Amino acid sequence: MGKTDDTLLVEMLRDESQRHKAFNLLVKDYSESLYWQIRKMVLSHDDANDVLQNTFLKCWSNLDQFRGDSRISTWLYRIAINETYTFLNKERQKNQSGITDLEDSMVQNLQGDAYFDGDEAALKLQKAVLSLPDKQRLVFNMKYYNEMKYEEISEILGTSVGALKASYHYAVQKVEAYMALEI
Amino acid sequence: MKKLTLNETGDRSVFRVPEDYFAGLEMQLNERIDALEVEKKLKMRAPSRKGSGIILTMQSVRPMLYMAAMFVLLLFSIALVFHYTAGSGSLRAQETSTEQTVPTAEDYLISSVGTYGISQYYVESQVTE
Repeated sequence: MGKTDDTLLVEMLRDESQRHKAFNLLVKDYSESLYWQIRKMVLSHDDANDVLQNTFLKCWSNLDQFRGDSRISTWLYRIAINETYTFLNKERQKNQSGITDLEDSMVQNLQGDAYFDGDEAALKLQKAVLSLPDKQRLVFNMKYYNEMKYEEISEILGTSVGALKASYHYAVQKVEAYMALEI
Repeated sequence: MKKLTLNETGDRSVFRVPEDYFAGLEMQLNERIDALEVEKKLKMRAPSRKGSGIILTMQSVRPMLYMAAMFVLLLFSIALVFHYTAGSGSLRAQETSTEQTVPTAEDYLISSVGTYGISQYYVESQVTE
């Protein structure tokens, strides 16, 4: 079953009597892609689930503010990214008093995560990606894992295609340099 | 000891989700949205309760406190002005009264002996003469 047409979905969301139904369609259509986008940033399933639910709740609360200027998917991705940044910043604040930084503890949690099947190489890749700054990591994930087009990423992040290409290029270089280190 | 490249990491889907996670997500979200709607309705019925009420009261009381403080300050300054002007006025009044009433010997006699004593003295002196 394909995704619901954007125009139809917007019309349904504006109609109070059909809002719930439209929202369920929205969840059905976008929950997986948003989940994986979030999961690649926060790594743990439980955290990804929390951030995803907060994303949809925020979307529900702000349905009146969606004017249809951009695509629904773009709007949802933006909310998801903001929620992810908010989550990561909160975790960093919590971690400030600790000995290890957030990225180290994320890797440690990943090693014991029941929903992570990666081998040694996959774990090393996650460590390498975690060494990138948040925005670069986001661009890397969108391109490398989600295989999104630069134009699509540009619309979501509000960054020019040229800047995104440069960012991804540097990210790949850094990740490969990290991967080339002996383990 | 081995070196790895990005291409060698192979399978990109190393993350898994619990079984039927996405199927159950819709229900979980609907439950949370229903709770959110109930909360919203309750808030609309009672806009200021407990915490928010305290903030509102403090906010509404603050200008009144400022006004009260201003009023007290005004009263205090008026009282000060009156104190000084009234004090100097009474001093001036005292000064003018001492200028006007310089006691004479007659006044002293009247005040210490009294008019009755003086008249008796006169009567007695006339009788002895």
